[in-house]
Amino acid sequence: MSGARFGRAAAALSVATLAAAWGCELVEVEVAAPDDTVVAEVMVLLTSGEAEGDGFGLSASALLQRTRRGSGVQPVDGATVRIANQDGREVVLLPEPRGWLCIGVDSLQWGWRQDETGAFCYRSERTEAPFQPGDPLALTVGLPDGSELTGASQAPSAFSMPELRLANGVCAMLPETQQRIDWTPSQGAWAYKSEVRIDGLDDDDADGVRADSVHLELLALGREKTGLVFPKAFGLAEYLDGPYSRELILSLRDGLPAGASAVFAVTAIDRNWFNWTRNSSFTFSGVVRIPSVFGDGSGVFATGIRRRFDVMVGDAVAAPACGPEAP
Amino acid sequence: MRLSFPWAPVAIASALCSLPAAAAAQNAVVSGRVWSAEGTPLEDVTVELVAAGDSVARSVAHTDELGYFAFRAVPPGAYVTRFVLLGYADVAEEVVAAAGRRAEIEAVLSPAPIALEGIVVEAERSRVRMRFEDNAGTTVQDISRQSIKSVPGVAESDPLRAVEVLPGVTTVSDISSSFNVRGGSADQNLILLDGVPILSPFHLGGFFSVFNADMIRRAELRSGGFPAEYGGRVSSVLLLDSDVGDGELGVDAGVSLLASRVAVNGSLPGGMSDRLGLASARWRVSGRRSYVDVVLRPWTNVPYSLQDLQSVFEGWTKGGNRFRFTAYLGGDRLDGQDGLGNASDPGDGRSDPFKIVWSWGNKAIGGSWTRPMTGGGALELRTSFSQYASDLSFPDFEDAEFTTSISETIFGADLERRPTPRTRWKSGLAAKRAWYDNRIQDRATGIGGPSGAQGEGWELSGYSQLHWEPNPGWLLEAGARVDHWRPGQGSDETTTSPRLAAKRFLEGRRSAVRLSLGRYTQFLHSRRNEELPLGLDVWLLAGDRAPRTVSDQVQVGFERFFGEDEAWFGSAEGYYRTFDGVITRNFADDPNDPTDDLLAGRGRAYGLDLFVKRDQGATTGWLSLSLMRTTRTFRDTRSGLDPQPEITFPPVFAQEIDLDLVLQRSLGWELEAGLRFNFSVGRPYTRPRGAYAGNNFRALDGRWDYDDFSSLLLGPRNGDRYPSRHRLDVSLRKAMRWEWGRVTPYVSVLNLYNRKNPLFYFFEYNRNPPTRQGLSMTPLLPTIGVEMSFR
Repeated sequence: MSGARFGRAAAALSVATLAAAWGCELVEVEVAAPDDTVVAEVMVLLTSGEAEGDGFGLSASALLQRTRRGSGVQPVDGATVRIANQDGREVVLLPEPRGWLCIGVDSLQWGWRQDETGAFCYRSERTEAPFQPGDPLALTVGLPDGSELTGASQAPSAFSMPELRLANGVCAMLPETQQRIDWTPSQGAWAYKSEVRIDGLDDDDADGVRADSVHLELLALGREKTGLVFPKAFGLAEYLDGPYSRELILSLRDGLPAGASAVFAVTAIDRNWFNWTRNSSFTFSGVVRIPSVFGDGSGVFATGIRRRFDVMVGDAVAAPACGPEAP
Repeated sequence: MRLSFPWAPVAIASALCSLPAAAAAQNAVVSGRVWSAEGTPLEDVTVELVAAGDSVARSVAHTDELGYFAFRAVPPGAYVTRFVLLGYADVAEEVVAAAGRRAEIEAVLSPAPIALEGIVVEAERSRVRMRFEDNAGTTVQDISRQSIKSVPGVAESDPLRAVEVLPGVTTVSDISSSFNVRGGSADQNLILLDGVPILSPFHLGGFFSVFNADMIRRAELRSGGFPAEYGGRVSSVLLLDSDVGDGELGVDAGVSLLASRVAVNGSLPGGMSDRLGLASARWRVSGRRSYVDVVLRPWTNVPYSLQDLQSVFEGWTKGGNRFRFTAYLGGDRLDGQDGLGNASDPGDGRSDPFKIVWSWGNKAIGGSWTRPMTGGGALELRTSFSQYASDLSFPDFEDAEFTTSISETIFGADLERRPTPRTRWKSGLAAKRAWYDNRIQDRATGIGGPSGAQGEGWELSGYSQLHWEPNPGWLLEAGARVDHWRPGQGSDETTTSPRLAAKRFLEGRRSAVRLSLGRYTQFLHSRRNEELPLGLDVWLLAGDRAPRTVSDQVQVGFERFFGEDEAWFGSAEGYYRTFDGVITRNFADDPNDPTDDLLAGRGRAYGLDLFVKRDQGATTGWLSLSLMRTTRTFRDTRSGLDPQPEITFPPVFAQEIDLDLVLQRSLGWELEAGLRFNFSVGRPYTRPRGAYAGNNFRALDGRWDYDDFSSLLLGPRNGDRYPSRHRLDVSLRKAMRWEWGRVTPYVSVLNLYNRKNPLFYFFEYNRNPPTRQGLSMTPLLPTIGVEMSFR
């Protein structure tokens, strides 16, 4: 769990305390429209060990939006988004107006609409990366009005998970146990973002809303923080500020039930990614992110190196054990 | 920028001090000490020197805390010294002053209770005069317990809230009792309870101070130009003196909307004192606790409580030495073992309670031994231990814990001598060990054990200061302090801090101009974000993670008594300060570098403090006006640029105009009214210039997770200001006296005209049209309470 999230929780707690104690609101007034600024979020993922062959897979997408102006949302369409390395190898991201291949399933299910959010998606159709871990990458975003945004990112180096045993990207884990997952350091990484999507949890919270599929995240700060205990490590952040029930989160501390499955990914992220997501600077109106895209707008251009695998939970799963069981 | 310190004036002053006081040799010195019948030295006794056969005092002096007084330059002759102190019978002693000789008097006063209106005020006036005559460079304001109680408070009297109304002192909001002095941050104030440093002396994240006003005899703020004996902070020194009582058995109790409290004082039985070799031994113990959680327990669970225990003991040996011990133990507890959430709250979005346990507080204990010296002055040995700690844990996650603590142990010795009637010299040595431990422990992740910061350091200090009156028109003070800091991690640092002050008396000592300059150093910082209205300190020491802070300061002032019988006192003082090595959080710190999470920067402040005080008459009080500008300069870590540009901005406590009016009026029938009006220019804040959806990129599937929580693009740092803040508070106290004691009910009304002073704004740019909402500070808030005193 990051200190930043703790800081936000503490700030929110103090604000809540104040509001409860005082309950003295000021009159709402209209204010001038904010600046009209383009915000470009461009992420490059180099995936490793997930497909046949020695090369790295590529997942690159960009979400372009404007700072909000009431309901007058204007999608940033017609832009040209190019990413190149020092050798001139280039990837061009193409528009994906409906966002179906860009936006997460949860957001789509909850009714995400491009015309309401103004976020316009661009993504790469290439799946093999022309870049290598460790490459310096450059971003250029050209807008139809001639304005331009630029950014630079240094991709972290590749890393491996030497104790992990997989068959076709799958490993097995016994029910109600904890699994130690370790990886080697990635040079240039500022943090590791671990994510897991767990299916098959039998959760029935007090409101009767079932959440049998959950997405949990954990940010480990520093390139030497190269291991965790699964699934016990996950949940504290979501416990403080998340949509899942307390019982569901706490059940992870006993391990996963038989029949559950999980997709686990750990991504070595660069400075830009970390600065954009750390949310370290809290204000009462929202969070402040540290940009890495400059020029005629703001935003982030970041690179991560990802390793991903599936976990099946059961007593007789036809896959090798993921690795050493955690005590 | 640092001021350069010419050593020449210090050397000249030292040389001058060694010259024989030729003129004084023709005159005599009359000095001595004043004791109670129980053998306790009496402070603040008014001593009048009257020529035999005359009825008008030739000179007036006051005793110090060791009961010592002195008249210098007394023409040879026969005199009568008269000793006057509230609660004691007057005493007169005859004395003969012989040329070139010192005449010593030992006076003993016996209790004679009297109740005269205004006599306390008279004592205060004496202190103002004593400060005026005795201090060359220090800007001192002191507040008696009487005044502390008359300043309307949120629920009950609070010594730190009373400090807010002094010149040069500003506060970021009504919510916090934390204060800033002359452009310094809150962690640059040294707060001493009987000489024991108290770190983060606040309850409820800053809402109340830990000090029970019943236990405090006097609060004294030194907001600038403090002499070399004080180190460790660069902005101010707040001295809080415990009231050890008069030795008689007595009980003070009170109930406010915040807490109930009781203080008991007395003395050791004579037999026990004898066995301990003491002429007198007085003590006072107090306890305070909030009670809302207890009272409401049958109906609802209030998870918060606070408590304090404070005690002081003072014993005087038959040989005239003093032992003094002070202890404080207190803290807050937010006990959410049973959960803080509300399952029935549809807006909560959670169907279950949120379990959290958070406790924080202080422990402090200190002791001193003081041996008064013949002719005035004293040798004092002292030691203290002080700790502030906070522990946040989640019962559902037993292996996750956030802790912070800082501790200090100090050993010190001070020697004051008065080699000539016009010279006072004081020197001292001190050794301090400090250590801190700020820990984020999340063993469940298995990602490398605890993180955070730990450190320690030794501070060895020595000082010497000279106080010299070359003639009745001048007062000079010169001194120097050397601090050697040896951190556990990082390089040793030695700072030499000269201090120099001069005062020129005018108009027969009715007015004076003064100048002081000095260097001040501190080796610890708090990471608390002062932009948040409430918050807990996270302390760390100078070393490889943070620099020391060095502040060079100069101040020039004029002060004058005026009006009939010097009922009024006014002062004007301008100052300029630089701060080198102030810190702020590095928003873009590299998690691979454990030493870069704080940024070093610099700052400056300049301003003018105006102060007018009236000590006599039915209406007393003061008006203070502080004009101040201050800035901080740091690298802009939120810019994302490489290299990071520097930005200069006003910090959140940069309130350029702050006006306080405090009035007390006796209405007769033991009714006393209090009033406080405050006006200040709005504090700065950073206004968002745009907002956007804060999406989260899921590396797991390479898709964006839409997050409606606004992310912001900010305008210039602290480039806007909230509207001006003003507020009127009133209070009324009625003392009812009985044979067995006194009952004083009181009522206070804060923010009488319900001014909506903004605490903070929310900008909502996703609305059409965009809006701004906010939360205001203290609303119209009546509070009641009662104080009882049993004698």
